[in-house]
Amino acid sequence: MLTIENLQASIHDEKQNIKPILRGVDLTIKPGEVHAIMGPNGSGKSTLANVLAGREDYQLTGGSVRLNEEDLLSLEPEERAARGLFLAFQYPTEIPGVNNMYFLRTALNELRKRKNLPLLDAADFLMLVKSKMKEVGLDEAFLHRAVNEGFSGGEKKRNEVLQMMMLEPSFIILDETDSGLDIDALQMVGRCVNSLRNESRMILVVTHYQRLLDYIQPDVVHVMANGKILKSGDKTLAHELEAKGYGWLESEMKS
Amino acid sequence: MIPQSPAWLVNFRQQHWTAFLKNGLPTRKDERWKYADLGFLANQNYAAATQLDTDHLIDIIHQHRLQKSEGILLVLVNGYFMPMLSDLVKLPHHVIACGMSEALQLHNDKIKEHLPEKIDVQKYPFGSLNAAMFVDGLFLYVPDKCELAAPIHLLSLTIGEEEFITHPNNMIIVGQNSQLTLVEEYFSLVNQPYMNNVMTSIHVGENAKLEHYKIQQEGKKAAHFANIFVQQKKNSSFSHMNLSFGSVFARDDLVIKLLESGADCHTSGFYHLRHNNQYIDNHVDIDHAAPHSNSDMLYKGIIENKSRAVFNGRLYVEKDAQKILAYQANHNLLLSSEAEVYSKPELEIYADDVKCKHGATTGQLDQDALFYLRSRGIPHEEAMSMLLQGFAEEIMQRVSHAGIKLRVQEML
Repeated sequence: MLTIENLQASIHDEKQNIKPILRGVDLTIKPGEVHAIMGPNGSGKSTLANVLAGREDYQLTGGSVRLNEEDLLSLEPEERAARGLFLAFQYPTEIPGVNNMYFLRTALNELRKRKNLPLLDAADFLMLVKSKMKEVGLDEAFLHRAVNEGFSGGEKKRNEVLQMMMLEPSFIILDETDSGLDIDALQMVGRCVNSLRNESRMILVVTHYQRLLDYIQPDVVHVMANGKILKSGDKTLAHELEAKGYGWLESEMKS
Repeated sequence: MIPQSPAWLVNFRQQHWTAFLKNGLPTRKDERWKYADLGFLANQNYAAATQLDTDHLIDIIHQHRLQKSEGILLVLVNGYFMPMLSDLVKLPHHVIACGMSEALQLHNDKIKEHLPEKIDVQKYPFGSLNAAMFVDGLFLYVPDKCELAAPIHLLSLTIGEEEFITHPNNMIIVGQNSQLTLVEEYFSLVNQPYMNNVMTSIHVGENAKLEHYKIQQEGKKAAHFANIFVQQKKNSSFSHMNLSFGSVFARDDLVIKLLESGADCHTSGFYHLRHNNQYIDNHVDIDHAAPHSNSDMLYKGIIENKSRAVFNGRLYVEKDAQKILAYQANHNLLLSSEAEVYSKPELEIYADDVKCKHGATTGQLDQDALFYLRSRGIPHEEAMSMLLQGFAEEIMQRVSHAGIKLRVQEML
């Protein structure tokens, strides 16, 4: 279970002014649930995703996050990953010189080490990764390249989904994984995420658009604006947003 | 001194000694020595190294053999060639490997022909000093049409309790249409200060190919000076990789002359400075004296703590040397706010039909990449080491020999 209470975070802008981004976010995800967060640009969706994963560019100024009754914010990023948190990045980083296969195997074996599972040798790993690559539609040649280096936008997203499929995390955050994807790729993301859905796994889908939610049916939809969750509802809320835009919500809130 | 030195050699030494004395030690007013603090030399009383009894070294030497491959090990201890510790029986017929002092008796003409006639004392003062003082070193001669499949591994060990200075003088001659891979490794187990002042003269004959790796892992308080003078003949190929990790002070001058058309050289290097006050300085001078000659330089380094690195790559294209392709790059990673790097590319081009590119970067570890790896569960330290290895990967890719690759990976 994930419990976010009154979470507040800010950044220093170019002029070193403190700029609040999250202004008191409350959110609870129960085991087995899929939540979607929608909202206009600059509403704080990506910041929320990155704060949860442990990126250090933000100052946390208030609130708390508990993952399965543990204080998430006091953990290092790698410890969060070890607790099952996984963020599929909006802009995956290119890492020249670091081989994609070596990276994937190191990540997987680190997690297995922590779970006291036997490490995968090269042959077992290769068998596993090849089958997962088929599922996400990445050619095996990408194993031998540097992590994300020179990958197209779509290939980077597929590589994120590949990591998700390999690591089988228990709390998945997808940060605009749909942006820049064609229909085929979008369906693949939907298929992969749905294949991981079960009674215990928690999934948080951050997106601008409703179309990804045609493939991943959320249990709860939240609308975020100005660093807060303005409204929550079932999946019909996503359709309503798609039809009306975000403006009506903000005016509704004011009245 | 060597017994019965030939007259030319007495003269040669005298000339260089006079030049060295006249020039004196370089100061920081000299552009080529601007960042080098040689103050430590004034406080040091080095004694001349002596030849050692070396039975007890067999284990150490054995541990340093290249793994996963057949290599021909040749050993220098404190600058003296050690035939008893070397794999002389593994050498093909007609390949000569012996100490310089012996070679001066037996192969005098070859040495006279291939020692650099003139050493610009202002540029290479320690080269002049070596020329004046050397006692021994490796003499290696590969005759024409001889391809050595196994690499020759020259292990230069420094052992002993005294603070001493050595001036090994190595000569490598690769004849026409011949091929050689040479690993020149400097290693020490001692903790006290000493100074190793090496000169290596390399001749790559017509159509010959030499792959040369220099690995520097001197003791923590050592000073390592190396002058490598390379002469390349028609259609020859020379690749050099300098891997520098040890010593408190290291200065390498790699001086390559592409004398005839079709000569190609590829130079690269990697340095990793870990300790406070460590200093590693690479100067590369490539002289395109003939048309249709190509060269490249790719040096990368990681600088930690309060250490300093210098890279100076100089490319000189003579007036009639047309159709030249040259590339030069130096990339540095600073891991602390007190680490310093001075990178200076120099191009001096007198021909018109020349393509030269150069670039230099200095930066810090990519924090986004670090976060990316950690967010996948890879611990901080492991993620750092993956990124540093990734930074070195471009250099590693240039190592074709498996045994050498393994040795280099161990050091990274």
